[in-house]
Amino acid sequence: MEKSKRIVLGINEEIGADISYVRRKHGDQDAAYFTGIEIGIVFGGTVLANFLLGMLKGATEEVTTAGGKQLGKSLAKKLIEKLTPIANQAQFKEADTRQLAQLAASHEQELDSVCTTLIADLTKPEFDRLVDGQDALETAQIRDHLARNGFTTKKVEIYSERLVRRIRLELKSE
Amino acid sequence: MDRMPAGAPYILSEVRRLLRVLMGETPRAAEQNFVNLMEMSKVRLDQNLWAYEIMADGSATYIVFDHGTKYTTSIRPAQIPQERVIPIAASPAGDNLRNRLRARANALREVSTGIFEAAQIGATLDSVDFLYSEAAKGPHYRHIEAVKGIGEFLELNNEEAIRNWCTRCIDRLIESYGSYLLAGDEVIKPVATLLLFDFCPFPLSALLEMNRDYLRYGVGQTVMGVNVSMPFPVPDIKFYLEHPAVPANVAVVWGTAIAREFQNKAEVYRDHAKTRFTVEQFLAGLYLALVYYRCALYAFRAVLSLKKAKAVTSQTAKSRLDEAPTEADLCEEYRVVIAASLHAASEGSASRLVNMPSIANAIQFSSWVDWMASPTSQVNAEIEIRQAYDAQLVMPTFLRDLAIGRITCIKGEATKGLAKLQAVTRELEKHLREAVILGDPNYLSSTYDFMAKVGENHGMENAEYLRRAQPAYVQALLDLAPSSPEE
Repeated sequence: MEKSKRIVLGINEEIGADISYVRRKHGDQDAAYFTGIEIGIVFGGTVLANFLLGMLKGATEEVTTAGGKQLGKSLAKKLIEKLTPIANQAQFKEADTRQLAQLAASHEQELDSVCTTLIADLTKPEFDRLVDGQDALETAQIRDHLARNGFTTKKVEIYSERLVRRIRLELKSE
Repeated sequence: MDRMPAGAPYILSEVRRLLRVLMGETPRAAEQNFVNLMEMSKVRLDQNLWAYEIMADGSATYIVFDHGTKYTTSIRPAQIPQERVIPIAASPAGDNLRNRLRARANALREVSTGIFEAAQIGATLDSVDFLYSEAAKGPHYRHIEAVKGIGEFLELNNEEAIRNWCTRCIDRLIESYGSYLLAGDEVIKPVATLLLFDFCPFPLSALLEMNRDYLRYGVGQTVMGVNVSMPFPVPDIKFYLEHPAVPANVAVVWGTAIAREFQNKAEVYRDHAKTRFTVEQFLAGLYLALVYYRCALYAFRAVLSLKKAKAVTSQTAKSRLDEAPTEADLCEEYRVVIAASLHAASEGSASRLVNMPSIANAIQFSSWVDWMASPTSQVNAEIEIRQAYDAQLVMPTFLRDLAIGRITCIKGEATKGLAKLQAVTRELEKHLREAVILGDPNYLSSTYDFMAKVGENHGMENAEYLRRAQPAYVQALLDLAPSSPEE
């Protein structure tokens, strides 16, 4: 399985049916939603993009870190440009859920290419240090994203921590 | 090999699955849902955009199907043309589920009187019967009966005694609900009231005083010359939150605090249920999560309907009020999702709530997974499974992993799939005794059987899987006598 798909499914597993916070934020007024995993998969991709953005921003701002040194500012900038539209995705409501699935697939391609580039450019220990080294920015990025998409204060705290932990684990796994 | 769960434990698990449907809210509500679903199933539409319209008490609820998105709303969905809005006739609730419950309970008694009695099925049937009776239509106070013996409420004379009393009563009420002696509707308000006492931000004696006032001015201390006692506080959190002595900010923060506590408890039970290795424990956990979500929903709605809510000034109270509608909606969605999951476990695809068989039937469940993963299938099998697990809460983690392992094998990645299945079977072996006692379906043998076939098809060594698929292997694990009449 492609790396980003596995991570996105992991994010989806963490959030579970609480994805309804996102549904409610972007859905119809007075609607109580049931099933549908597509929105969860699209949202999972945006969470991963936000994590990677936080990680890359941190690495480029603090060039003293091992990850920052190795990565190079120009590459980081390119990757940030690729990730930004996914991270800022605000369209989670589609009349046709098949369109959400297509959107998720296109995000997956982009995210995979970012992950592949990072993995190819860094040694395993460097990559792991990069993933672990930007706790504050990674968490802040995800926290803002959750808050923007309808998660309540308490849930933002719970999930930002949980998601950062899960994404790190998945990114560092072989 | 699929015969392992036959006998009393298996019938008992069937009875419990039915009881969870009946007692989650009230048996009458369950019967009404059952009838509504039957009515809906008569109209089968394939369009991507349509809705059912269900009228109750003069107001309409719409169940909307919009290109893969499904939701309920009380607002007429403007995007749906009139000819695609299907009115569902309000048929009176019958007693289909009760009859089935009686039939299965009788079957259990015939197979094992011991298990019938140990599981208190007789008392449960009496309780269910009461809830169908005319007496149940009016006000009834079975929660008071349930906590009898714990102590007289108005005689409690210090903070600690009141708190202890509240804790013991909550435990007793939840236990009664968990044993299917009280229905969800009977415990929600009393339990919420008791937690409100526990979370009281000022001396509890003030709450006792509110109840004494109620007795004094609302009921009267004597009726026909007889002293009226008060064994239980007024079971309505709005009674306390709306009291003039409680400032608006306090009322909102206090009320939402208990709502959030209930929500936390529901989440703990929900998440714990998912990690269980038996279907019965998974469903029992969801059933408990359901009552806590309903308590949370009741508390959030009570706070949102407070007259004094408009007068809040503190930042905390304002922020709690801002978030309460979203949290209430989430609790409502979980209520529906869990109720549908419990119903689906009892009825399978006949419930018309999910497109899959009951997880309590290992053979049907496995066949469904195999069909989805087959080359002729049009569905994305893995996504279907993840949807069932993540969004619909209809299966525990072990079944998700088992299904994904099967799918991986069928899609040609035998080694990877078998590794996943081995991890699941290792855990199932550890929990085999619980599974047998609880009357769970035999996922262990059917999975080994599948693994043996995969091994054979891929030219891999499969003798060990074949051996483990035999009933003798399960017997040996359990260290059971070969023919126990009870099992």
